[in-house]
Amino acid sequence: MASRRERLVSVASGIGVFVALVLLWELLSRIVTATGSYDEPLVPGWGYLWSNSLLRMADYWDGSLGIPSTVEGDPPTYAAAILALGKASLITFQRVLIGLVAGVVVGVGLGVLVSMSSLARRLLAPSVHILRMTPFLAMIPLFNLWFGAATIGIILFVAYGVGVIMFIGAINAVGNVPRVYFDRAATAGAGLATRYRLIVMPAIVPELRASLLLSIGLAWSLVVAGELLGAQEGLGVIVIYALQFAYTGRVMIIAFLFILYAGISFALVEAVSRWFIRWHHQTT
Amino acid sequence: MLMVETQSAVSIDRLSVVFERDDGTRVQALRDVSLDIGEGEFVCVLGRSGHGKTTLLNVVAGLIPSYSGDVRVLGKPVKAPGVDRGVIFQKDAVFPWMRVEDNVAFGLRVSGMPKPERLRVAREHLDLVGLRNVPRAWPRELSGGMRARVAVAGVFASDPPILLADEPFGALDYVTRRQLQDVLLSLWERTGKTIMFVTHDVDEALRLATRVIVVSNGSVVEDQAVDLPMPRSDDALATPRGLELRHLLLHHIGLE
Ligand SMILES: Nc1ncnc2c1ncn2[C@@H]1O[C@H](COP(=O)(O)OP(=O)(O)OP(=O)(O)O)[C@@H](O)[C@H]1O
Ligand SMILES: [Mg+2]
Repeated sequence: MASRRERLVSVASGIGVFVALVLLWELLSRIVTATGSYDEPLVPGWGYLWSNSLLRMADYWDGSLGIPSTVEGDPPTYAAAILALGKASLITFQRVLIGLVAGVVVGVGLGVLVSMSSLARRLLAPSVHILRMTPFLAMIPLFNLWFGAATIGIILFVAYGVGVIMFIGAINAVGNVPRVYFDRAATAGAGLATRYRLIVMPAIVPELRASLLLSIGLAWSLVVAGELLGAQEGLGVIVIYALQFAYTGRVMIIAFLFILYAGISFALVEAVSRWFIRWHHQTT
Repeated sequence: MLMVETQSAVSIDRLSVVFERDDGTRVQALRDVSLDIGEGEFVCVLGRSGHGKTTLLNVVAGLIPSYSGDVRVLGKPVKAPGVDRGVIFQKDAVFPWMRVEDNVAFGLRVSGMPKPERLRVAREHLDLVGLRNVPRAWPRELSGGMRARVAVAGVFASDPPILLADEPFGALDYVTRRQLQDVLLSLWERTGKTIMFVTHDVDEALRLATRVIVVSNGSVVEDQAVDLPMPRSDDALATPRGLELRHLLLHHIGLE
């Protein structure tokens, strides 16, 4: 456990690095003044990002809720811009969440099930190895073929990636449970079901948690990849439009959002799941 | 003439165990062991490190199904572990994800005892091993010796007719060890359990056992009744008979 002082130092240095990066970017934007097509600066400064790129997010608002859309000729408003980003975020977040939950449930469930039988483990070992070696993004065309740009395809793609990570994580975690715990449970009269409920499930939590934290970053990456391939709505769709006109600033704003969301969800899951491993040595 | 036999708790006939290591080499951990332990006996298994004590105990516990020979517990062939045999493992087997009292109550939980009742029993037994103050602690918050006592309390709480203990007091200081030996002896006298107790400490064996078995290179090389009256004070062990037994056992484990 880090002492208070150590934590203070690390928070302070984190803020320091952040401020330095912000300033550096601004400096860079003043040096590199080149523009791409449609007069968009290639390195947009903060002022431009705020007053132009963010504001123009209003272009992606559909005009509902009484907040006018720019499509009908109204001037862009920050309200419409925030609403557009909020709605797209919600849709994307939903995909991440459902995909993540489905991937975790199916991956862990299958992993634990397979680990129950040494025959199943041996039969599946080669395919697990292949799964582990397959780059997730290589599977995108397949999902695209099967599901088109439908939301379900994106969700399944996220679930697939997360599921593979959790499946492998679960099998390894069960394999790492010290044998003496099984022996003790068996001599106390515990049958297979009880052994899984009272020994395996709690014992694998720390390793599963590590896999889960890994999966969160992955889930956000996969949802971007899925949406970029032609979704109808969501944060990735804004990127597609922005790319068509080389709107660097708008692409950057969406990138920021992704970083923010991934960071927040990671921190949240890390904090909440810590409770489940409070018995464990390294409560990191 | 009619022979009245007392039922044997553990009977072992020409037991051999061969392990295959990962590198393909084979180890004969037990060689042709025959042994009969009557109900209510307190048998200490004595021997040097790596000579097969744990293997012998694990076979009786049902944890090594691939043995050759005949091993019976209460008349039934041993194929798997069972609640008639409680085991204290040489390795630390306290579940780190359960609080101390839940660890002690684990066996009772498996057997279906309701929670308030089993926690009451667990606390009684924690008391017995001197851990009254830490029922809600996590195992990681205890010392090695304290965890060893949690294991002892857990098996006592489950109250099996046969107790298989693999160097249960190995990690304890002298005073605590002596205290727990007394706890174990009074438990044995009160309940009449059959006990197989692995140790490499001759003095511990002489203090506890009604019978000492010396294992060397996987074979039983000595089977010695300890005919000293209980309880055995230090003075009782210093009698001519006590010293004679001590020399004999030391001789058989390879000293003197
Ligand atoms: N799972 C195993 N695989 C291979 N060899 C084993 C295994 N378990 C034990 N052995 C070997 O069997 C022999 C007896 O081991 P055992 O654990 O019974 O010794 P022990 O008398 O309990 O020793 P100690 O006092 O050190 O605990 C040793 O040579 C050991 O290397
Ligand atoms: Mg041993």
